[in-house]
Amino acid sequence: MAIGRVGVAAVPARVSLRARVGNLLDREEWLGPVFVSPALFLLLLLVAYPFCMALYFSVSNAFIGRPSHFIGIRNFVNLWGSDAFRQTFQNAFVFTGAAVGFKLVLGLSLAMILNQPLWFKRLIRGAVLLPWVIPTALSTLGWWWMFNSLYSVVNWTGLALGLMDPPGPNWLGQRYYAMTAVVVVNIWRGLPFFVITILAGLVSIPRELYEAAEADGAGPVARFWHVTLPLLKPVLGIVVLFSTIFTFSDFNIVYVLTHGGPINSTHLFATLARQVGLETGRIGEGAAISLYLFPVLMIVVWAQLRFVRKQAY
Amino acid sequence: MKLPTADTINHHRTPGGPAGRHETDVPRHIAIWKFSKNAEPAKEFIRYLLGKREVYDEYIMSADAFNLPVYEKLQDHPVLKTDPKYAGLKAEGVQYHCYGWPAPPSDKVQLITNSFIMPNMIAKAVTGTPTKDAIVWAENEMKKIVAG
Amino acid sequence: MTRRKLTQRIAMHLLLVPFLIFALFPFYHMALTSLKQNKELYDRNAVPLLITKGPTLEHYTKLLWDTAFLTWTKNSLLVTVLSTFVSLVIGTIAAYALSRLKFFAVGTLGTGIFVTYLVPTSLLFLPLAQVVNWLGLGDSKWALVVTYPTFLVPFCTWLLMGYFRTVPKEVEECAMVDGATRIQALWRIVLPIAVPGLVCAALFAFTLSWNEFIYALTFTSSSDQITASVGVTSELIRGDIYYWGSLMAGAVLASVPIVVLYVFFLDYYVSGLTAGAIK
Repeated sequence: MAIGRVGVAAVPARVSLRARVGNLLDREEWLGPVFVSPALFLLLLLVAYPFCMALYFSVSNAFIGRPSHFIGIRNFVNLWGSDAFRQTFQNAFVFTGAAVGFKLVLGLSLAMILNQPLWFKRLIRGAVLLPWVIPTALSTLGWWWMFNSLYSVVNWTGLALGLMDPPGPNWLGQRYYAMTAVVVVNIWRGLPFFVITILAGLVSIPRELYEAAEADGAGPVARFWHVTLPLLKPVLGIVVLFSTIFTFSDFNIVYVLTHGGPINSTHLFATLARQVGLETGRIGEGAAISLYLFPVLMIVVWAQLRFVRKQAY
Repeated sequence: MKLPTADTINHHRTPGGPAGRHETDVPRHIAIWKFSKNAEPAKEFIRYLLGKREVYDEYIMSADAFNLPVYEKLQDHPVLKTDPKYAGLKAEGVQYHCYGWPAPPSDKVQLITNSFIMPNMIAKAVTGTPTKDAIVWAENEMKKIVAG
Repeated sequence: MTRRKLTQRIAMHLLLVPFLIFALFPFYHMALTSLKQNKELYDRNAVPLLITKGPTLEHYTKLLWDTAFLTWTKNSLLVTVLSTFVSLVIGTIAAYALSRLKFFAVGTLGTGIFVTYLVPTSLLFLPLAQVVNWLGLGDSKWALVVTYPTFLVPFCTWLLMGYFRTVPKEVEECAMVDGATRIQALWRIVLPIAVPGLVCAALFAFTLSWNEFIYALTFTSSSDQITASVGVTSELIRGDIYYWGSLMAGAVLASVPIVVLYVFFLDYYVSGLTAGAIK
């Protein structure tokens, strides 16, 4: 079974099955596929196949417990007539745009602060990363209590500081306030990812570049613009693309905090798909709603593969 | 534990109109799965709970009028006298229907219910949209759903 | 340190304060609320930032004895540990193959597995509910053990590919020249070197799995099958009564395993997050 052993004295008349399998597994062309096949099998059965099922459901009138029939694109067309769906479409872009934008700016700022020499660095990093680690559904419960219409600590603080008029806004019961609340929780939860990743990118920028720029007379703003930002572009690209797809398809925060919100004002595709697909039972329409995530997913994947991933596997 | 709000709220039934007072109620079904492991004891329990008047009364009393059924003969039930505020719950001359009446129950009615069109209509009306616009909005949404 | 540098450092720390308050206040508030007595909790004139009438453990005892919280936590642990183990095994061998071996379509497969990670769970949950029912696993925690690897495996594979690439090929080739098979070389040589990567992948798989909500909400509903997150968010609201003290206590307790892991393995979490950016 050993490779490279020279001068085998005699070849056995019949190679045992175990030895033959062992020999095969030693060759890259066989071992590779064998090792990859469990993952491939799992993903084909439980990702690719359900995805095709979703495609089929969306062009059928599937309903829980009934046989389904092909109806073409009627689901997609009917959805545009529904006010709840049109509102959801708008919500998704507003939510994602605002949340990712703030996360980017705040993440960059915080990463730059953390890049300075500091005391208690490990403790601070631990504290900053904590919101990302705790299960979202549970930490959103904390925010739900913080935004409660009667007992909100946010309102209490605002009133105490004189920033709000009594009794303070009903965060989860009014249209634009609810969207603000949901965006704030998403920022709180997603910021650590931005911070830690951008920090890693910042750390890898060699100091000599900054020193050279300073010697050439560049002030701090110019150094940021001409040295930091260009070299951070790949990292920023990765982080923004990942965050976009996960924010766009978010479910936990909206479901726990507002369930879709006052008059559908915080519904996202995921929560509306659950409401229409599972709670009502119209699987065809629910699948059509979920599939609206697909174009954005495609754009993100294409952008990732084209602009960001420079390594070939 | 009584909050101050408790003194300022009360119950009222759905407003009535020239055609009478109509309300919805959820029809109650009691069923035992075919694959149940304890079918006989379950049947015994149902006979016990619903078959004996005293037990049924106890069932209604213990829920503080929350599950008082809509039978005419039970509208004078003693549970309504346990708290002065329950007096508003007395349902005289109310006609009960399933959701979506006079339409037959269907998945379209279920979608209307699950999309919270009625609560949203009222929410719109109390947060700035003119009442007539809110009603027209709700009507349009329901028409689209019923059309398929 | 010069005076100027000292003031600069202090200024940097001061700039951090708002961020730290933003990040940590919700946890402080959650813990505080879970220890407050009900009469102070629901008193609109009380100060919500402090406990002035004495702490109480009644919310925790109510949670532990009056609800099935311990069952939910057991379910969460079972599902998480099993799916982490399965994903780690599948991910390790896939990562090894994709990063070290040359075979038919290795590049496409690598990209394909990576792309699968980007398919959101909120797109797949509806059809997966049907698949899970066909497999006979409807309303069972085993449905979660089967479906969680769908997002854990791509992530673990991608993470471990990066780690495997840092193991020099010469070490492996030495072993094979000395008579080891590829599999033996993997087991005895490569894996021990990649242990930090394995620990990192296991931690992330554990965290992602414990955090998961939409599949757990969709595929399980009986009180004895649900996981901790689903249990706390759905069963502590009876009708229209919210048991806020117990809700917060449940949120705090259900986060404890993750916090424990986090405190001990903080550096692994940081390196795992950055691995995606740099590699």
